[in-house]
Order: sequence, then C-alpha cells, then structure tokens
Amino acid sequence: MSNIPNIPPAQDDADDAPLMEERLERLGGEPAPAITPEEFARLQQAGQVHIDAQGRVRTARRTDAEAGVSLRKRRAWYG
Amino acid sequence: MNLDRIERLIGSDNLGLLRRKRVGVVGLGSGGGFVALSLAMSGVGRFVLVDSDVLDASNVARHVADRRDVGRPKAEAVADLIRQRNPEAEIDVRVGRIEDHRDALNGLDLLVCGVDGENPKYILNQECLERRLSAVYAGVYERGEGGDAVVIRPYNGPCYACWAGELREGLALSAKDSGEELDYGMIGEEGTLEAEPGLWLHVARVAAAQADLALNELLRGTAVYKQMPANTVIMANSALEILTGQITPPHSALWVDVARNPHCLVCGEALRNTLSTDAQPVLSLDDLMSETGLSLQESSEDTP
Repeated sequence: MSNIPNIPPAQDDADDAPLMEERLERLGGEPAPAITPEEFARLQQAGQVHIDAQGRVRTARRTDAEAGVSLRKRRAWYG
Repeated sequence: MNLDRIERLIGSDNLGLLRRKRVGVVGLGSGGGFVALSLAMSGVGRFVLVDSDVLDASNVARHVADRRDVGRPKAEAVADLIRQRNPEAEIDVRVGRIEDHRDALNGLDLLVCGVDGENPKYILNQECLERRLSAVYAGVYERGEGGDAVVIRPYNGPCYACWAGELREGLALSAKDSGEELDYGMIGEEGTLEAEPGLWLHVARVAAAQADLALNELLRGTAVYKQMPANTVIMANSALEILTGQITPPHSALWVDVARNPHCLVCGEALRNTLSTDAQPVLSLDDLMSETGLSLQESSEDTP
C-alpha cells in the first residue's frame, strides 16, 4: 500500500488559455461582468448597464441612440 | 368542464374571475387557435373569435383543428373545440377581417393578437389605444427558430408601433410581382412571410408563452398575479442570436423591456397632447418635425 497522498493533479492553466482567448474574442476584448444574471437584469432595467451593438457590456449610456440592449430585429409570422 | 385542479391552483374566487373575463382572439391560425383553446382550458369563460380564413388541408399539420374541419372557417372550428372542453363558454364568432368587425373589440378585458402580418397588428394597436385595451402579441421567427411575446398596456409602456420599431425588421416589398419563384423567407404585402416553414411544436412554444402572459394579465390585481421580469420574452427554439453578437442556447429565453418611444407617431406625446384638447386638433408641420425628429427632403420631381 502506498503512502503517497492522493493529491489531485495541478490545474494546467495553459489548457484554459485557448478557451479564455476565445471568450475574450467573443466579448470584444472585455471580460464578462462578474455578476449574476438576475443582478445584470436589474442593472439593465435600471439603465446602469447595457449591451452595445457589438455585444459588449457597457456600464453607462453614452448616447440615447446606443441606450438599451442591442436586439436583432427580425421578421415574424403567426399564421 | 371540471376545473377542480385549476381551482386548487388559483382559488375559487380567481377561477370565478376568469369565467367572467371576456377575451378577444383576433387571428385563429396556428398561434391564435392554440392560445384560445389554452385559455378556455385554463378557465376563461367568454370569447370573441375573429378570423376571415377557412381551414385548408395544408393548415392541419400546424393547427389545433384537424381534417374534420377542413373547409370550415377557422373561427368556427376553434369555437367548437372550446365548446368541446367547456359547453358553457360564451363565444361570439366573427368570420371576417378585423377591419369589418371593429365592434368586436368593445367590452373586452384583453385582446390576444394572433394575426399573421404587421398591417393588421397596427390596426389592432390603434383600436386598443382608443379603448385603453391591453393586448398580448406574439410572432414566430423564420423556420421556427424562435419567437417572441409581449404584453402591451396602452400608454403604460410601448404601444405595438413603439415595440415593433425595436424588434421587427423593416417591411420589404413582395417579390411576387417581380416574377421570382416563391421562396421561404419572402415577405408578403402585409409584412408576413409568404411561405414560412416551421414546426407546430415550435409555434406552440411561443403560443404557450402568449397564453400564459394573457392568463396572467387577466389575473392582474389578484394574489396569484405574477410580476414578469420585463414586458417582452424572446424565445430561442434553436440556437438564436437574440442580442447582437450573442448566441442564446436552444430552449432558453431572454426577457427584455422595450421602452415606449416618446416620439412614436401612434402613441407619442405630441399626438396625444394635441388630440386631448377639446378644440379641433391642429398640429403644424413644424411641430410634427420638432416632436418626431423627422425632416423634409426636397423632391427631385419638384425641381424644374
């Protein structure tokens, strides 16, 4: 029986690097806000944060034209 | 109809309230038919059903009515389905376009908009604003990839025109007259897709959300009313780009609050202020341009 303690393997940070790069790329170079979706929704409703046309989270409105969420406009049917 | 289980959920008083509520459903297609039947199965007791179409064989794969109703007006077919569940339901069936049955909207507690196409929605929007009538609208996106539902309360948030300005892509002209072959995704004269593919189950998800919002709105002011996170829910049936640059996973949804546009030409302040005066409303061109931000362009035809 071995006396070597059962130590979990060290986290290889290098493995996460491509994932993080991809994430930052997707977020336009900005890390995601470290808040819960509920808190984000509350701040969004309060006008304290919004998502701009590039999908980036902004913490303050710069102009009225950019205010609020950038939603994809779509056609719809219901027949 | 035995509604014991619903009574246990919402209470006898609230069930009695729903029995007395009068709901208009305009458009009894795949979505509106589902909503009307779902509301009846949830205890709503009075309906006004408006639709001009008859059920075609091609509708059966995406409608609550089936082959037995092919050739019958959709409004009558859905009314019969409701009566099969609740023989005591009071149903006013109107076969025709809403333009010819505007009086059907009088005395309603809520409107469910099930029409296909943007133009009829704008007509309903105007009628609802005049009556201070709340409405629930819904739409399914191309190929059934997703859809949205919104509760519109007149002058308390956006009207449909404000809302559509944020979520609906501009209307394109029909390609029918250009001689091109009809293809999925083409836009008809009324702003609807000409030949939309999409599964019943994808429509049903959107319609279920619309029905749930409608039921909740009917219970507003009671203890079982649920405050929703925002006025609009946008559902992804498959992976969908709801927010620009972000993919929302399948079977999930986002809530967004679409604000009222103070410069809206339908419900905007300038128009309301003008129309609310006792005197004959007078709105100068300068006033209109000032309030709405619109500007005039000189027409080249006027140039000699």
